[in-house]
Amino acid sequence: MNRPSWSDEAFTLLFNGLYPGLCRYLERLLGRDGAAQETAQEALLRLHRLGPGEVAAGEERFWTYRVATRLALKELRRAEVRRRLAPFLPPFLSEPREGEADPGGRLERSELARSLRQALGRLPARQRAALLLREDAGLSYSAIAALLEAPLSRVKTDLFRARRALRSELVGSGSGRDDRSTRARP
Amino acid sequence: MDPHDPESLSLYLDGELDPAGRARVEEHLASCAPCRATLEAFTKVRELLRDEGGLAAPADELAQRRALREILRSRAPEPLWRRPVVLPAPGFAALVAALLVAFGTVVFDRLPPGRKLLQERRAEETPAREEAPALASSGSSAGPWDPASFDGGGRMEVFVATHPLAGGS
Repeated sequence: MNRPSWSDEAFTLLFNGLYPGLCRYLERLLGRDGAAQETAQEALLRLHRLGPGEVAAGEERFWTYRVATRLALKELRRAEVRRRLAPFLPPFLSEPREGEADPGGRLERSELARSLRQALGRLPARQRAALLLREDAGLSYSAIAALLEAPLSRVKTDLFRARRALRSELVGSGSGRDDRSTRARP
Repeated sequence: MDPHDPESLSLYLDGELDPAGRARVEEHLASCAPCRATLEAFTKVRELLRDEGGLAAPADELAQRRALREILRSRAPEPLWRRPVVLPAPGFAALVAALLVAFGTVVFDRLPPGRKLLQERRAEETPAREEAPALASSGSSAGPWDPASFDGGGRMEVFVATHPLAGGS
């Protein structure tokens, strides 16, 4: 039995609404342009193949962000493995892939942008994903929890820790008050 | 919830507190300068993240159009049973030959045993006939005979003759 397929007009409308924001979110999550565009395209391709009836109406954005986030987190895990193995590999295997390092990339058009990008890059991947899903995609806590398949309490903690880390790096510690409950927990 | 807990400030910033919790945090903020500074810093981080001019790259419209075109042109992968199988000509010939050999072997194995053995015997008929006179000379019947013979229906007849050992008592 054949699935119903998207009409080109309907999918184009959906695509154009999702792609720019998704790329922006993934660029920040992954820290490089090329991979963000590839990942966004892959997520939207999967949505296209599913057909219009497979994702509830109005849920396409959530579905696409969920798929894209999973792909991105998987890619980040791979990158971490590559980074750890790099000292033991011959140079041609350990060099970053195209676009992996983006030292002169367009994201770094300003000092602040570079600082923010570096600070984001130092966050654990899940904290970064939670923060960007909140600030970039504007998802609610419960939606983020569902998307990351994590308990709500974990999302709250991840968001807070991510903000605290960025505050320390970008804004300064501010109050100077010891955040007794905010120290990184193991 | 402890209103002095910075985590509650993060929830407050995101509007994730219920009205009672929100009221408690606001009451606390009115009298706690460090918490106000923390909230201000969190707000600043949010502004930095959302600042379009600070970080957002301009949309790559060319890449967007290309991605859309590729998706619209793509087709879902066909199920395995509907995919065409492409074989190079020598490979295909080898495959056909192997199938023929396998088919012939199976057909030969399924022949009735009598026919199969007859076919084998016919192939070896001449040497077998040459050995027969030696046995025939010791038999009671005149003329050559076969110690074993087969009919076409798969039955086998075996003729056994006993001979006294030469020089026995």
